[in-house]
Amino acid sequence: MIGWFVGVALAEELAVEVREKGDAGGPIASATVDLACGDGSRSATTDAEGRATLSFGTPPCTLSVTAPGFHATERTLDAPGEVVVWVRPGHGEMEIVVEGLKSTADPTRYSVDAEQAEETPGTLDDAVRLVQSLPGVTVQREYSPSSGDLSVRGSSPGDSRYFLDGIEIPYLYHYNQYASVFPATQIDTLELFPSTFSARYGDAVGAVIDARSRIDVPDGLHGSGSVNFVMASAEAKAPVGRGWWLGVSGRRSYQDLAGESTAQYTLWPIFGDWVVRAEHGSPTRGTGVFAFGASDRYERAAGELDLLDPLEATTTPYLDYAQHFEGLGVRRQWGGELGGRVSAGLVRHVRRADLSGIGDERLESDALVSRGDLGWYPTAAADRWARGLDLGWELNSRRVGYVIDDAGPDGLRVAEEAPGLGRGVSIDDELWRLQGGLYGTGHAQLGPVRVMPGLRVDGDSTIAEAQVEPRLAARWKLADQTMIKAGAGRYAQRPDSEHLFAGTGNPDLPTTTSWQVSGGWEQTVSGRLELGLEAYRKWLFDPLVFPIDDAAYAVPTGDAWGVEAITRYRIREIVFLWGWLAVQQSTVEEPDGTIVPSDGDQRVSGGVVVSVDQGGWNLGARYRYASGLPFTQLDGSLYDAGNDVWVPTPGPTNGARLPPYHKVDLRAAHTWSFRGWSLTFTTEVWIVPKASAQLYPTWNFDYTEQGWVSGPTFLPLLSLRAKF
Amino acid sequence: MLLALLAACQAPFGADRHDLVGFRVAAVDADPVRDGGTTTARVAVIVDGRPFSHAPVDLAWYLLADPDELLDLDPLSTADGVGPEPELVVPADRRVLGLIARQGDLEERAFVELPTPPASVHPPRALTSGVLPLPAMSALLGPELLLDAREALSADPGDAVPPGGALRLGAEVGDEDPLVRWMSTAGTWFELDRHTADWIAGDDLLLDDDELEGERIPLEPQIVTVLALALGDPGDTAFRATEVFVGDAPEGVWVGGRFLPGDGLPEVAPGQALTTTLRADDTSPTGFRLEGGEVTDPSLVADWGTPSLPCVIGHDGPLDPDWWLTQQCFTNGIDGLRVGLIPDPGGLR
Repeated sequence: MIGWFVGVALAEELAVEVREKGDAGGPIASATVDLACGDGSRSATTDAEGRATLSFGTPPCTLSVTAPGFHATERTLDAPGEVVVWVRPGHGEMEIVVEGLKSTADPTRYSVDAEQAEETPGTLDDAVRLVQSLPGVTVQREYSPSSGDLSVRGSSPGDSRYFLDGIEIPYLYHYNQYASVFPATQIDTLELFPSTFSARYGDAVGAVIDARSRIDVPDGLHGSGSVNFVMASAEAKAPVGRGWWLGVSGRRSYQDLAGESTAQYTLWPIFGDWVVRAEHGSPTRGTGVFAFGASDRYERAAGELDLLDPLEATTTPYLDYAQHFEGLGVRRQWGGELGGRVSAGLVRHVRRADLSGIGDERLESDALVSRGDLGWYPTAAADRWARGLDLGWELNSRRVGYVIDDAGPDGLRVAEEAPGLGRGVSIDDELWRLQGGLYGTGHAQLGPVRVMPGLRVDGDSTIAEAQVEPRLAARWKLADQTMIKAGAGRYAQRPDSEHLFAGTGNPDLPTTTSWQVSGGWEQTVSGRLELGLEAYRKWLFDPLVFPIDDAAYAVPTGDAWGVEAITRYRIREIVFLWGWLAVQQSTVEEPDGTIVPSDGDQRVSGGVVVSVDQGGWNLGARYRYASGLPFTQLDGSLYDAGNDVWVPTPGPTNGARLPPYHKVDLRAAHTWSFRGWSLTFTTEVWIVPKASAQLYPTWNFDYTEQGWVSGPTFLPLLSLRAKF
Repeated sequence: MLLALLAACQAPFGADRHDLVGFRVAAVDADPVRDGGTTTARVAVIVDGRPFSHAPVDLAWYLLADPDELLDLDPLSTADGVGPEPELVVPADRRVLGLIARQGDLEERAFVELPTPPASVHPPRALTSGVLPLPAMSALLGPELLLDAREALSADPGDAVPPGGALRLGAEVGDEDPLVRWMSTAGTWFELDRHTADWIAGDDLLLDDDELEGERIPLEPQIVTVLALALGDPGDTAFRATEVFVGDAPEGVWVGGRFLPGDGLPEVAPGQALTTTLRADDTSPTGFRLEGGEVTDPSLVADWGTPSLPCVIGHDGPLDPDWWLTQQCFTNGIDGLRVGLIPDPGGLR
């Protein structure tokens, strides 16, 4: 390159190299370079390396560079030689994104990507938190103990499954509230299938979240670093030859390093996650080898020290809690008439809790997982009624070890995090488990109607029965911009392994099954504004409930129905907005036949999100409303006079409700682009009316007085990100 | 910064377990018993924040197989025992002693899983008090109340403090080394060790992360009843009560470690009896005060007057102030009755 510059300088020529300003910094090919001098104008087009050479005329000369998708740039030159022109990305052609009107076998599929996750106010770069702004997903109060729960269409959090590149991950949220276990920057798309999903997914009566890693092949070394008020992160990726590139990413909370600790939290929560990836090829044809992990740890007093007498505080045991998982996977994806994705991996998950040496529990799982999803769509079939076929499998083998050393009555005080300690038993046992499933979905075009029947068969070594799950989806395209859709199917889910141990659980727990139907209407207006309306119903049989002090058990039935409306408008990297309104009801039948609201029974929720990019600025706002979730009121107590403690007497199950929730998030971010790197400063503000700030109920010593733990009503948040 | 931003907060509750307020079963003491044996139970009940009641409290006792059975019991159902001090034969399959205490519309339910002999705890032999050299309540910051700081303090003998002052209460226990829980009809507690606690003559003090919060309202001058509950093996408890004073200690007499205020009381030599007149007084720990009286030799007292007291258990002998805390007696109709009692040695103030 130096020789090229030297050569053109000696020849009284101007060597121009055009590169993208900002973190990408790559060469711009096919840019138009115009040079207007006193003796006339000349023009050239840049080559693949972003270079062009022009003869230099009578100065002064004006150099103009234009390229599709970039802002035009001008500068004045007085002498020949070499010049590097950095052009700022602009908005060339507007890419209007329409999510609906796709003939997938999933009647409902919500997709979010990194841009939405990064720019939606209140999500803090968290793709999963963004999912909580989708219709049908229970709106949780930020930083409440349940804020990481993903309850969809009335389901319980444990009814859903979470996949990263086809490999199921054990848990979704650090500390069940602060952040999800993978950063938005690593995610290309994250899809939510709230119910009536296709035969592709099984062993779930709730929802499925499938996250796919970003596979954009780097042209050089790129990376970023960021810090917000909770975590710091860094990532880098670079080509390593032979068509391979390597990416690494890591995040960690840092308040513990800053010396944060209290009497209540003697070890401030530490959490982090990491990904290492080696990728070859492209998103449509390539291979990936990846490792990932996440960890959480803290130590806290088992009681609320502020509410305890100082002497009691000194005798309160401490809970040392840790949870982590690590995975190693390989993925192969390819396109064409017979395309698909196959992935396999090894995932280790450990959860341990030690209550000051009084008792402890350790749950560890080693799983060998694999799944393949193949699609056969022959071009020759484009005009036939039989359009294609999806086939796939899922095969998981795992060993689960569970050791509980009973902590006595104190165990109940930490049962939320260490459920084994709340059950008052000791065990040392292990469970070997094999789960598998096969599925097929046909795609038939019958005039304007696409019909997609499917069948899935699942088996599990913990029970001698196979689950046969027929599924059916249909989409009728009434016009270019109008589609109606419907879906129905049977779904089944075996309990998590930790509930199947004798002693602390019940090996004979039944399989939860569900019949689900949904139907809806999708409409686009002028090819860009999307409107959708959908209704669903779910019948559950043998849904599980999880008492805090006893083994899980099945109740006879559950029921959920709802109606959801959504509107979306999006021009990629310019603006997106969406609004939604959901009305639903979700109940379960108690063993005595009483029908009570389920934990996820949020009758009304809705909101609106808007985000605009303009001139290096991103401005956004989000408003969310949700009616209160139910909880069980404690209605006084029995005084255990022999131990001087009060045993609460629960009122009607889920007979009380939290107050309605309102939250406004505002976001302003500015990106400064420099030569080869960029810097983004983000400030967010959350506003919660005082009447909505309650996080969870608390009770006084004898449960005769109820109070609330309340969160902040106004919270400013800052973050900084540098990319190169 | 994170702590400041994210700190969730909770408004303090109006009362904690140290506060003898409202209608409350404060303690139950049942004798250890073997299967098929007989146990006797005693109960300390607080009515409208006072350690006595104007009218009898309905006390119904049930022998149960499981504490949860108590939740669904009809309080009008036939009980295994009624009243303040029942004797109950305990079958092997029903070793949970349940209690439903009612007065008017108020109801409290409590239970004890009956212990087996030998007893692991006895009532504290005595409750002691001393004045703590803490700054005035208005000057307290919080660190002075931390455990380490209070351990370094020593108390001077005394049982009366000005409003906002502090006392140290101790329980003289036997060899069992029980954990003693402290309660009172007013004031704020900060426990010190298994048998000792510090008490401040003020309300609305909240120690939050080493800082004292709340309005810090000094108590008005009054007599405060303190209850010490000793916890032995699970189910095995014992209790004892006493009084401390906010402001100057009033005239009165100590009887069995309890204080009875009085007016115009004569000097009583140790071992002598006092025959006196009762006057209804809700500011007294028993609901009455003493008025005048004569000193006599106990052996010469022909009529202690106690059979005439408004009690649900018949008594004959010197008056015991604990009869009101344990709901053996009430105060309606007590005004003007004459009774005999034997003050503690040196118990006259």
